Amino acid sequence: MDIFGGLLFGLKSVLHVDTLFYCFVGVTIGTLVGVLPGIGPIGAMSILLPATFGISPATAIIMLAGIYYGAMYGGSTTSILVNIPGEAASVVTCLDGYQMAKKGRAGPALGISAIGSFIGGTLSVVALMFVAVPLANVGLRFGPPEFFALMCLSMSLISYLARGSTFNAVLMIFLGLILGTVGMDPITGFPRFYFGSTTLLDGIGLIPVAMGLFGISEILMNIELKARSVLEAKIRNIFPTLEDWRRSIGPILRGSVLGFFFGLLPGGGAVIPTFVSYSVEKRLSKHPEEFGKGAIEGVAGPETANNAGSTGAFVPMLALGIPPNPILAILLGALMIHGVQAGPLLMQKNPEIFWGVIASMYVGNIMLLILNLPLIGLWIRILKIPYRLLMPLILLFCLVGCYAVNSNPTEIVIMIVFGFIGYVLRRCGYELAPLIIAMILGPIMEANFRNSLIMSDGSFRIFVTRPISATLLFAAGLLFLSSGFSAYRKAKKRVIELVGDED
Amino acid sequence: MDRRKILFFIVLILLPFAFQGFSAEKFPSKPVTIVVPFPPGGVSGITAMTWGKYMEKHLGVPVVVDYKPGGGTVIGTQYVANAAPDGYVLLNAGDIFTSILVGTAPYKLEDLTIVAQVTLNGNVLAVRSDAPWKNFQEFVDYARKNPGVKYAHPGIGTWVFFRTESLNRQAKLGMVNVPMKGDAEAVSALLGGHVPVAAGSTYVYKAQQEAGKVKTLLSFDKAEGYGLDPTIPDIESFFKGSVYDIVCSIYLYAPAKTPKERIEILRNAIEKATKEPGFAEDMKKIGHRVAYMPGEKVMREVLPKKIEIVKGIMKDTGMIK
Repeated sequence: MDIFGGLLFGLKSVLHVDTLFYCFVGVTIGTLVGVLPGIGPIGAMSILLPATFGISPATAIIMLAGIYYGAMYGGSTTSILVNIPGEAASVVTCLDGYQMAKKGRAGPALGISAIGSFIGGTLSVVALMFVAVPLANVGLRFGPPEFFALMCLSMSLISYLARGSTFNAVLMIFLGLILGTVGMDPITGFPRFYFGSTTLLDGIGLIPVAMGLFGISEILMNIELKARSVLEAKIRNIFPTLEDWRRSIGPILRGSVLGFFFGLLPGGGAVIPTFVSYSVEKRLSKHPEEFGKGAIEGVAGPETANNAGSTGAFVPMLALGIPPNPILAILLGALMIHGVQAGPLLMQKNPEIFWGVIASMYVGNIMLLILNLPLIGLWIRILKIPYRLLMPLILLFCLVGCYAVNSNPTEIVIMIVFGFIGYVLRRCGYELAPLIIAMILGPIMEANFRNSLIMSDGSFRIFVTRPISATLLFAAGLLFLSSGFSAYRKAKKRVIELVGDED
Repeated sequence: MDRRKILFFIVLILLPFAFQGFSAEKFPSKPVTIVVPFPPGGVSGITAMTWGKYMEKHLGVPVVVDYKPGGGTVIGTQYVANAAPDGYVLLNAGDIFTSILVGTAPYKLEDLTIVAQVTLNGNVLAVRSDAPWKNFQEFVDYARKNPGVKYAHPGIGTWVFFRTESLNRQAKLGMVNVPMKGDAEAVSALLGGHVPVAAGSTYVYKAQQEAGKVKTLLSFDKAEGYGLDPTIPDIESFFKGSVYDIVCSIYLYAPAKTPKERIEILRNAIEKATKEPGFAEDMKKIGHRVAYMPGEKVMREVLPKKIEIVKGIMKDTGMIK
């Protein structure tokens, strides 16, 4: 079946009243769980999995997939409005999105993330359709050494997440790396730093930490400021202006490519491309000083990247039958229950599933855009709620959302502890995004580093003799040097200014 | 109506009361919960749901599934170990002694009792289809002559790891393990050419084999039980008893102090469930095969041997000091 024949075949099966209905249900639920902090697509999909037993496998997958990419649309909402990342994939959106909201520009921020998500989602479906099989094979070329090199490259980008001092950012990176070592040793299985707590055996949970560091600490900061509402200025406009568009189109296109690429790697997903996109935009921007103070590029890029990433993750799943992350693994489980064998032959044996899912993504993304744009007007009204009323509500949502992830009360304690840690760090002028990203990357980096050395019987040459890993490491080295050099120049300039003042 | 019939009816009417006399109250009289120590959405959850569906008919009460993920099964297992021993809270899990040996589990092996081994999970050893070894014999010869062949597996502490390592040691293959995160990463590492061999769940590799991407060298236990090509050797047939395979059992557990009669009722229900025609088919879909064995037999004949082998592996890999 050629591509257009396949797409038409897929559209034919999607454009049925009941399939459209399930697709709509999926994307709506996705948007809702995306908006609610804590409970994310994994929770929603697994709860609804048994509900799909009675419908056809293609329809079941269409609905469940809708929850996944739908959540990427909703995820930005709480990040932008109240500085609480709804999912791990929207942590980076907090940096500039919340600043935009404070300045009365929540509307354009929400608007650009919906439109960016739509463009990123749609472009990746096109890519998925045309090059799924060859790209899936490229993804397979990433083994442990390549992943380690990719993580090095990502690490060298983290310092761009910081607004202020590079030194402080590096300190936070180290703190994040240390926190990332808690839990089971990935190679020997020996429990590390768990202090007898069964919850800590799995490592410190990402969602409680993100919600604590960003959400709870924000509440604590605002108590101190006696803020009356989130807004510091009047709400100016609801939709992005022409200037916003002009500034966002580059980040959206680059975010689509980055997100799609990171999504299709084994172990990939929607989280890592968000901050890579942010760092790239800050690096390319003519006015990097605006980042962290409400630059629309800092919302457009990452929000596009997480959607493109969630679609990219379907590449190995549909082309090879290999789920690259736990969310896609649930889809694989759903196929198994229906007796469908997910593997490289899915496209031939079950074209209705392969093409049905692809066609449904075009339709689903349009539904999501139509669903999300009118909601913006509603969301920004939340900002007008006086803070004394909004704050307890945010706290309640954080507590419920944190508990909802694993029904584990210890995670609530972790969230609150990290809320206070976040408050103290922010008061001392440290930034939290590098910390949390290092916490995500650290364990991946460690496992792949050690596995590479197992593969090479302990020789470090494996990192430079393999072309992909050598290239990535070289790029990481260059970036590291250039940021070191610019930090040196900045310091030199400051010294000269200081000396000049004394004259 | 003759006397015998009347007598029969009287006995029939009195029968339930007789049983009530035995156990004070009828068991089960409220829904039974099966705890799954993993997050929802995975194969374990589906397994428990399927068992529950078939057990309901024989127990006469609903069976619900409750997820208690975390700590690599420790949180869910601890929940059941501490539950009231009334037979209403059960656990669906594989062998739980590994966390106890490592010392991360706050409960003892004696806190839980195995109601029955219900199914086995299939595992295979696979290579890429362009690998130089035509069959398992050639691979064994190669590995023994060239120690240090790397194999990918779904993670340290998973049963696939212990099972492959047990084969590796007993058969003196000299392979070195590369721990990945889950079957998906292990099969990616194999397909991408980063490791020559991978061990993992049968259903994952079966799909790749049908597409001609991998070759299954060995099915740890009987190949045909999982719908694999029956000519693929298994450990028992290949090594003719010189290598002991620690099978990947999936059990139904109950708190240790649960009354014997109740355990018996539960065991009958799951035994009858395994004999229903749809049960085996549903299990096959998720890569399991039915292998019912009463809990006492497991604890007497299989468990000690498994613990001994796994303990040896853990000492060598540094999981326990």
